[in-house]
Amino acid sequence: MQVREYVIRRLLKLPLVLIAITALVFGLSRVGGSPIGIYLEHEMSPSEMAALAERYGLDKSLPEQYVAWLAGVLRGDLGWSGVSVAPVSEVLPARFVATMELAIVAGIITIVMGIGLGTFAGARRNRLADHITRVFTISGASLPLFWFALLMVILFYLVIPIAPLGRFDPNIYSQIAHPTGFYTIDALLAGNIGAFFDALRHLALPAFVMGIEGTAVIARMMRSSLVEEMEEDYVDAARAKGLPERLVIKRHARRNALVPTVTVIGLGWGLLLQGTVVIETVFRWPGMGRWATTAVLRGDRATIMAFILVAGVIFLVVNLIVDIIYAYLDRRVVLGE
Amino acid sequence: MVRTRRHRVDRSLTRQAAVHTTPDDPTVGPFGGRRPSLRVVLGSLIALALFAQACTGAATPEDEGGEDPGPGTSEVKNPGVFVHALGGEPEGLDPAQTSDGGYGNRVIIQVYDFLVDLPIDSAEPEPMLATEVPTQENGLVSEDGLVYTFPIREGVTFHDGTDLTAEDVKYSWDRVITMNLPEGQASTLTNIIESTRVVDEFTFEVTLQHPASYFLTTVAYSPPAAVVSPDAVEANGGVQAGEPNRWMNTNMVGTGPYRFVSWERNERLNFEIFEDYWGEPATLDARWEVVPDNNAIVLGMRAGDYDLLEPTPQYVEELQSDEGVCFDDTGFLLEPLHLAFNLNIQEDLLPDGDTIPADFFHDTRVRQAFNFAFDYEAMVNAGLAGYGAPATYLPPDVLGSDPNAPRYEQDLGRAEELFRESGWWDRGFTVSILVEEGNPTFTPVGLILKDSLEALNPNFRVNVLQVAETQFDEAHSQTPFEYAMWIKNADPFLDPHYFMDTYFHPDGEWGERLGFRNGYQDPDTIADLIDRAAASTDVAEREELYAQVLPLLYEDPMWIWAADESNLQIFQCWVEDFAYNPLWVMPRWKFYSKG
Repeated sequence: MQVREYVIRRLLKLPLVLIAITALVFGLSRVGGSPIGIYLEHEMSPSEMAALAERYGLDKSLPEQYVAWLAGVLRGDLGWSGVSVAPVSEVLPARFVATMELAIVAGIITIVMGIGLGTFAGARRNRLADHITRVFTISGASLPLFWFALLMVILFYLVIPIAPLGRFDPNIYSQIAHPTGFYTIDALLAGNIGAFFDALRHLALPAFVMGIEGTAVIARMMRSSLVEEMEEDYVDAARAKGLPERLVIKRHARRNALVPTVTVIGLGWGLLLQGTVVIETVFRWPGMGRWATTAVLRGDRATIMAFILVAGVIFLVVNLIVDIIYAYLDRRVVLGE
Repeated sequence: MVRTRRHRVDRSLTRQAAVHTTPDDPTVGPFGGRRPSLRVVLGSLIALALFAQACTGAATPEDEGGEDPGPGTSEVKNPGVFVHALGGEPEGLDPAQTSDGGYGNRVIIQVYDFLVDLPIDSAEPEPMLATEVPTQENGLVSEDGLVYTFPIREGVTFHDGTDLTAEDVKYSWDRVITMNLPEGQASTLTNIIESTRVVDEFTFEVTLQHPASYFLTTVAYSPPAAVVSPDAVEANGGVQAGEPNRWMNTNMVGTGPYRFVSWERNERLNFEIFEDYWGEPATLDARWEVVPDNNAIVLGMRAGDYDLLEPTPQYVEELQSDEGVCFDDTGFLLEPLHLAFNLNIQEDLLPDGDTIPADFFHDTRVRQAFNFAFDYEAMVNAGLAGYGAPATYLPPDVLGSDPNAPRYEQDLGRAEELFRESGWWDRGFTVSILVEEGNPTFTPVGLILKDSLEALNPNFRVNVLQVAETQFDEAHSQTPFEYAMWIKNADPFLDPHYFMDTYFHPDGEWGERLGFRNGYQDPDTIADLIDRAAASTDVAEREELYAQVLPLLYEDPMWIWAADESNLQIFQCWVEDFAYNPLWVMPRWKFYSKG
């Protein structure tokens, strides 16, 4: 099947998958209690509670509420966020961009470090460098993320204060406009190098910590794949032709080793999104993970549904991209059923 | 979905001669390319770090209040800004849509003014937007106690530049009454006020439905009495009966010492000094940092990023070794911790496992026995880390509070006696208590009662049901209430009338819902004393009436009044002249400066 056709077919199926996911979550949202709780003040009377239920449409049946929510999504109204005291559609973009900025930087760190470490170790199989890298990767995959994040905060925020918490210094942040919402990009657009480095200062530690688990996984996969490829006859043939070792790895072995690694990278996105909850809480990052955590703990269904919707779209789109890249890297792969 | 098509690889090249190039070529970099020299890499990193530090430092001049370097130094961080870290944030900013006990009220008292104010060192109201506090002595209260006249201060400017007049005060109060929102407290005004009138440009008159000695403290304190800018409201949605004003709920335009700047949801609220404030101006801008995570708030305090924390005894242990952190525990919060008895139980609604009948708490002996069983010392020492005291029915510093009034102390012998007399000693019972999960002060109350009763008699079982805050609020708002007991703290009220009416009057808010008339031996006497104290404008008479009612409440308890929390404030020692009136809902930023 042609790539374009494949992409179109997948995109057409995406809304159906999203409806199934959101309907399931919407139905389950009552398990934790009525969604009206987030809008209540302490010690309200039954009549006051009824008035709020009517205002937020919570006096209707569950299917009616879901249909109303779906209709709202189609016209851009995602409901009222109780935890943020604002329309979800007003809060969501800033939260989304904050998480994306963190996830993208963490993803870059993960991919660069993972592939780099994996190649480094794979090219030095069973030597000291390989063993050291193995210790690092196993630790990264094993350490409880919450504990490790707190340890890093204590070390680099309190003891050696080089990594501030949060996303920005409010005094610097307010100096520039924010057309894109990405602090790094907005700082560059404004030509404010101080703001750019303020963004990097705040990004560095949470992005590193967020990417540690993915780095470990990618490095292990890359190392194993590269070792396997280095055993292949075509590598000997390349050497026999007189190519320097670095070109043997770069032009031949690494490309083939990347094929299984790319699949892991795609799945790693799920790990990254999952990690946002912990990382954003510990580092006070104003992203969707922390927002969703608060919403779940406080039963804010409007916010929860928005998070599910966005997370679902991201996951489905990323997996589509991974499939396409996979097909590009491995010519044997055929897209479609 | 993808599938792999098998493809035969040509291996013929593999049979050619090998080359001497070894796998561990020192020129091979991590990505298979040429390795850059170590000197180049190190030099680049150092240059980048220096550049970053230089640029970031240059962008944060101290006079703009930028972050300062250095942990554990005595340098004042965030100069020019007073940073207050709290575990939550406002539910809204509109005085018509917040209540006394909510976070919204805490920011309202910083930005809005009222007709009268509570000063830093007294419980007596003083002038604020009114130039005099109305009394019968100065003739501003009519002889029948029904008409209050407020002379309005001239030359006061709103944050939007408009001038304050008496008309604006009437507009502000009428607005709250017209909107009458379920989240708001319009009843605070409508339960007392008969009518309001603008006498002239700077004179505002209020006529009450009945004499009410608590009227001034209500005016001084409650969110609905805050004075807002009519121009700002009318330009942004106006006033709609029964409808919230979204703009007013996310913006603030008052006459107070702080002007609202911005609200970054779930992160912070920013305020700046209002230069045209009519009174003593603030010296620092202010920022409310929203820090719900306990670890982050302690770390931030130790790093010097916050100047003041929301009072929580649990932070003391973690911060007491920090030399730069100071503590102040003057007075008590106006929010006694308590357990409720439900006298309107519907047995079929109780949780599975509860074995008590609907009239379980109708018997005074049972309620007394619960009170005698509770370990009040453990509550203060363990539950509040020593920052508290056994509670009295009126919080300390509130009119009518009497430290010598009878109060319960743990007496297990007496508790057993009462359980035997009431017939429950041998029968035993299982009862559930509803509480918000994760609350560091509420949960210990339930666990202490559980330990106390179950240690007293193995036939007694207490289940402490912890639920999410939103679930608790929903359950709490329902009638009939579906649980036998619950735990909470009281709403903070300046005037004893509100405590009495809300928590003890047989026909008050909880009296009706929890069926106090099913339990009080003499409900009419209690009601009469509370009503007369509310109507009286004579302070001495009120105190005498409350002195009569307190022993009755002791003999016929409708609650377990578990503890009064100390008003513990935790702040950086560089905050100068820290002082605080325990009757305020929160410290007022305008009074503080930093050394």
